[in-house]
Amino acid sequence: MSTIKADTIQSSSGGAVNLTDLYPARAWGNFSNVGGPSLRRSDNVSSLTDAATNTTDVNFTNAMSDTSYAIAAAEQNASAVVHGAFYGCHWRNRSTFKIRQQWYSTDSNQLGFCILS
Amino acid sequence: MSSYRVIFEDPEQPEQPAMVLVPSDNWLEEAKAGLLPPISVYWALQDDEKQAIAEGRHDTFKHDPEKHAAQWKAPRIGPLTEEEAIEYLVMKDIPRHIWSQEYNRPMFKIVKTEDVPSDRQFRNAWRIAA
Repeated sequence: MSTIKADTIQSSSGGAVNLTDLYPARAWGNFSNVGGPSLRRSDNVSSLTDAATNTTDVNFTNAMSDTSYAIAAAEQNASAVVHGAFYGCHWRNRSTFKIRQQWYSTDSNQLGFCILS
Repeated sequence: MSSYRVIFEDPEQPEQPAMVLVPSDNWLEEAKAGLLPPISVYWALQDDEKQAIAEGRHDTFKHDPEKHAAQWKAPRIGPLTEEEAIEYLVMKDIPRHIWSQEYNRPMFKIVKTEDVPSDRQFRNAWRIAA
């Protein structure tokens, strides 16, 4: 077995690498809207915008190449009730920097999303 | 976790409550390590997309490959302090008309994390204090 050690992997032209037959998440994150908004863990997310009650914008670090990406998301409220999906991702018209998500309950302490493309 | 949050309002959406920008820890580490491209890289992508939306061709819009790759290929700007990183983030993630124009009152404020209310009972009534 070989071990590859690298800090950064890029395409030969210096851009994002294409992994043949592998489809990793383009971005993901886990956050809470209980009390002050907080982002627990994430990748390819530069920030969240707490826009209003139950409404959050996710701002990507690196833009998607277009808007035809898919979003998988779920939330769990304080009673540990897990919903399979957010109420809606109603504003996905920005490849450059944001999607907008809304969810069911006002006490969602675990919200997660994953972007696939 | 960042010591800062950015509170902002959108003058184009007067009914919208004040919004709170929460920086990502990962992104902040990248900023401190000097791994960010010039902000103009993101502005170029935002401008192209804005134009596509205005022309009604957003459904089929695809970024110019060279401009898109600049996110990784452009020379890095070097390490930033946390305060400089937050200023960079304002220019990247908050719509440009909010921070680039003067209004009759401030439309955004950089505040300490603990200054953001934790009681969300009246969340949709939040405004930036005078």
